[in-house]
Amino acid sequence: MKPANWVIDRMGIRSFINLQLYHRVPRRVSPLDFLGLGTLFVFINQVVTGIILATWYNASVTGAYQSVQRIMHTVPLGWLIRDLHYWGANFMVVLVFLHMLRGYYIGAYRKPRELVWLSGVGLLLITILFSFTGYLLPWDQQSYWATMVGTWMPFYMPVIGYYIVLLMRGGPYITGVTLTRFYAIHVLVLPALFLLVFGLHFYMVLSKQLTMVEEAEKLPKEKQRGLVTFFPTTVFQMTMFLVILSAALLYFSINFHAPLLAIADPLNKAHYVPIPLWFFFSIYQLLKYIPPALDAFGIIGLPTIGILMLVLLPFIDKIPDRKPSERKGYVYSGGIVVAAIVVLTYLGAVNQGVAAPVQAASSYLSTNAATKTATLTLLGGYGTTNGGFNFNGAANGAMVVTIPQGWTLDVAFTNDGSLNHSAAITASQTSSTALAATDETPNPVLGDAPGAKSSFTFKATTAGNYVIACLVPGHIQLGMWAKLVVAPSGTPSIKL
Amino acid sequence: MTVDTRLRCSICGNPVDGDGEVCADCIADGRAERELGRRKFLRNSLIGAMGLFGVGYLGLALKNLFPASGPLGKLQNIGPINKFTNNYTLIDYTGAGFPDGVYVRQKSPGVIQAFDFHCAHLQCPVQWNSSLKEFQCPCHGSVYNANGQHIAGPAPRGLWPHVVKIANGNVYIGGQID
Repeated sequence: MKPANWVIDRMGIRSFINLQLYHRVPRRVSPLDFLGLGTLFVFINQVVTGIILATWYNASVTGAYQSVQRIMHTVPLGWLIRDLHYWGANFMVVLVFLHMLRGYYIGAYRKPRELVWLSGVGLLLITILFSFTGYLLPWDQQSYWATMVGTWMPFYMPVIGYYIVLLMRGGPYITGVTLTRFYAIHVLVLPALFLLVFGLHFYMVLSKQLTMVEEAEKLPKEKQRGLVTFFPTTVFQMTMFLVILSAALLYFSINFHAPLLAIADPLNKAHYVPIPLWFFFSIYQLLKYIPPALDAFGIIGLPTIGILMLVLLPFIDKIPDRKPSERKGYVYSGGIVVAAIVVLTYLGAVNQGVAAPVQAASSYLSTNAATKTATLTLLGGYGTTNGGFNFNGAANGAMVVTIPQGWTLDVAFTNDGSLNHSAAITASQTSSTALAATDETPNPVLGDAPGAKSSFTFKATTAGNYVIACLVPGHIQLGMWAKLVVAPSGTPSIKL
Repeated sequence: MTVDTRLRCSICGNPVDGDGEVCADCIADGRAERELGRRKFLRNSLIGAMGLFGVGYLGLALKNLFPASGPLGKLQNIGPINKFTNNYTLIDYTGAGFPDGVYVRQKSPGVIQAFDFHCAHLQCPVQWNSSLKEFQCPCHGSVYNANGQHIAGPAPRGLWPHVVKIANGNVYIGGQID
């Protein structure tokens, strides 16, 4: 007798297992049927990679950042473990979202499956808390400031708000106390909670059957010939789905690495601008359209209403027929909410937060040999490089523009950042004034407002090394300068 | 063989008609009343004990994890008063036990102003714009004037001031005032 059979016999679950393995299901399946399975797979990935990371990680202000660096650069395959964990977290949020969307569309939350849906809502919230607590652990600028903002949000709850902030942070601001607190919740509390709620979710799925299986069994006898047994046909399809999913996870992990910014600086000397987690972009963008008087409602009220709607959904929808075509109101209103979330997430991503795409250096410089004129496109504060203090995404002299003596350089300046910026040609990076009044944008010290455009023309009469700088006080010291070389001869060039 | 699927009386073990907990005989002779009363008492004792354990552990956790409200942060000497101009400089205040940014300036001779650099909206780090003479928050656009008062954006109040003391020509910064 095989060991597996022996265990099954002793447990007395033979008939249960046979029922689960050999129940009849439709032959035709869609990948959408496997989103829950995919979520479970990614959760297991999170557990395995998380345990490995925990063995190297040091949850302290002095050690956290260095231990993550060590994982990335020294520990064998540590970078892959970290990237699998990072991408697994992102995959999980997307899979949970799609899984719930499918359940919403086909009405899988309805009686008698209310508990499947409610435990699913619980798992969604736990997944979000996993991301929120895990985000702080690398202790870089992004972690620190996003957590500062995120943990202040409960402040706007009536009466208990500030007490919740203090309890989360373990003090008035983010410190090492917050870090160990978040670590304990991330690796001890949430996994236990997740397994508990997942146990209920899975038990309810097994005991109440999947909606699609119920449909299949309602079919008249002659049509049931299209049915297959769950094992091995569907199990094989599931395996294929997991192979593709894991390949995607591996592809993202190998090609797009989890970021690690500069170590957290409570004084923020580099003027880093905090960015929320990407799946909060939609609410972050929405807050921009809400008048200041309703700000607290946007921060606390809207998410509360959203969660409440999800919880109450199984008890509100009383339409007799489950089919999407009979529940048009639910399908359309759900569609509008999802479309709004997608559009707001996109707007939130492009307006701030995500680093601007890097363009080919040559696209910034065009030349006309006949008139000996070069045109330089200069984007001040392009993307988040160096906290936005950059030209064309390059800071601290990383961009070098070279033009031959006797040429004319037309500078077309656009302030692409969120603060005022200017552009000027100066003698060196310690100079705070332009070479001449004609070698700068109109308001060099006050700067142009975000989105404004201006231009000036520089005549390269004397060979030598110059600097292109933003003359708004402090910006050049923060690294907002590029090199300009006037060469005795040659052709114009640019490198980033 | 047919199986009797009827429920059993939980006192005498005889079959019960319907879905009752006890049979008609036990109700009739008064045993049910005594037994059910005893069961209710024991069940409530169990719930009560579990509740007490729960409240105890919850109280223990909250008392342990909730930060003790102590006095404001200690005074920290940040240098001679003549070092400070009318323009704000960012000071690393550590008197509360952790690094905290505080903007300090000498508004007029002998008058020192000190504001915490966390925005009152969502605590992003505000930046002092010396040409516009205002604090700007890069996150959601709250703006404060040079006296820390809220003038634009979503913040519900002005910047948090810090305790300021001047002694023997030196400036001391203390904890944040709510």
